[in-house]
Amino acid sequence: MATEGKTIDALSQFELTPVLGIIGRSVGFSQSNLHMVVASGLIIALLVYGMRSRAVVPGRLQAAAETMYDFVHGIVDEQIGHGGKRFFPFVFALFMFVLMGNLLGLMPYAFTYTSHIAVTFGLALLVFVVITVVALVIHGKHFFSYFFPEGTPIWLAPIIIPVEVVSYLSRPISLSIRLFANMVAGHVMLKVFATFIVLLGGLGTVGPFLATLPLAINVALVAFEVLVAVLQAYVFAVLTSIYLHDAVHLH
Amino acid sequence: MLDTLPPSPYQPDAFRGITAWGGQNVAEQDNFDDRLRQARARKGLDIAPEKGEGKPVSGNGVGFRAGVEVVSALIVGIGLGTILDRWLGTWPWLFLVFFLMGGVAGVLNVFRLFNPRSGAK
Repeated sequence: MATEGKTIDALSQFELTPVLGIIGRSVGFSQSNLHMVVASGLIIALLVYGMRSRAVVPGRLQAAAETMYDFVHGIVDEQIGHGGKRFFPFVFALFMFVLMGNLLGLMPYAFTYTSHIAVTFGLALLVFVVITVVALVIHGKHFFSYFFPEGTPIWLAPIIIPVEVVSYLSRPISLSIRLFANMVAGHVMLKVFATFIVLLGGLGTVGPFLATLPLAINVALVAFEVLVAVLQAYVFAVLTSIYLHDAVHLH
Repeated sequence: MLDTLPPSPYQPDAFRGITAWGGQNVAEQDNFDDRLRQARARKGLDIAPEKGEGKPVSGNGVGFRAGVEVVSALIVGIGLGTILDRWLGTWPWLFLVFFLMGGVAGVLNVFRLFNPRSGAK
């Protein structure tokens, strides 16, 4: 697929195609949606089946579920601080969804739904709406003082307020672009080097020997992509927590 | 998890300070207050002193983060300016103003990356 006409076609892996036959086509159910459903099912299965035994000394699945829980709990506790516990389910759901999407996308034949800006921006917009509503509910009109910090000279207001508003509005954009760009860049690199393997492999007798070089790079890249997948889910959760901290404590 | 369980299930903490004749010594009482405070702090019931947070610890990927912050602020500035210009029919003046604002906000975002806003409410 990638080497049709001896060219590098690294972007066709992000195309959406309807699945589930005629039903999927009529409601626009793409493989991206299918992977979201699968990821959600895997998360629920991990938590439900993992925690079923409730052993003091956990087994493998229970250890995995408890590690995830503890990890996100630590993030929420550390970043939001006092009164942050009630946002734990929100951050945990976001973290697991992003993490499972990133990791699922590394499987052969799988699709990475976090490589679409529509998905990541949807998630980031959800975070943005939540932090704004939380800040408005907790602080009321005092929330708008966020855009004009105390102690600023009044003549700076025409500059400071638009800058702060733009800075605040750029949060969901930067949150979504970071995740989306990392995922796209990783998968494009994997595809490009995989294409090099095929193209070099067809170069007569020396070809297969040359092809081991991009193969070695791809092996290293897959390991690196696992790191990026976990790291980006972590960054998404940490930034959500930092924004929630700002919303709760307003400074 | 395991570390939150009492150290030994056969001797609960509540009975530890009680001597054979039923008296409770003062040192153990203080110890209990200490442990209560620690437990409350651990569970987030008391307001813990603020720590420096939000700083990117590793140098890895900081450049990428800074770049994303600038680009997203510019996108918001350009978008806001264009929308306001379409609405008010003042093309290209508000676009130019908000383009600059976006640049300033991008620099501000990068600044905040390393110096998170704190202190004054």
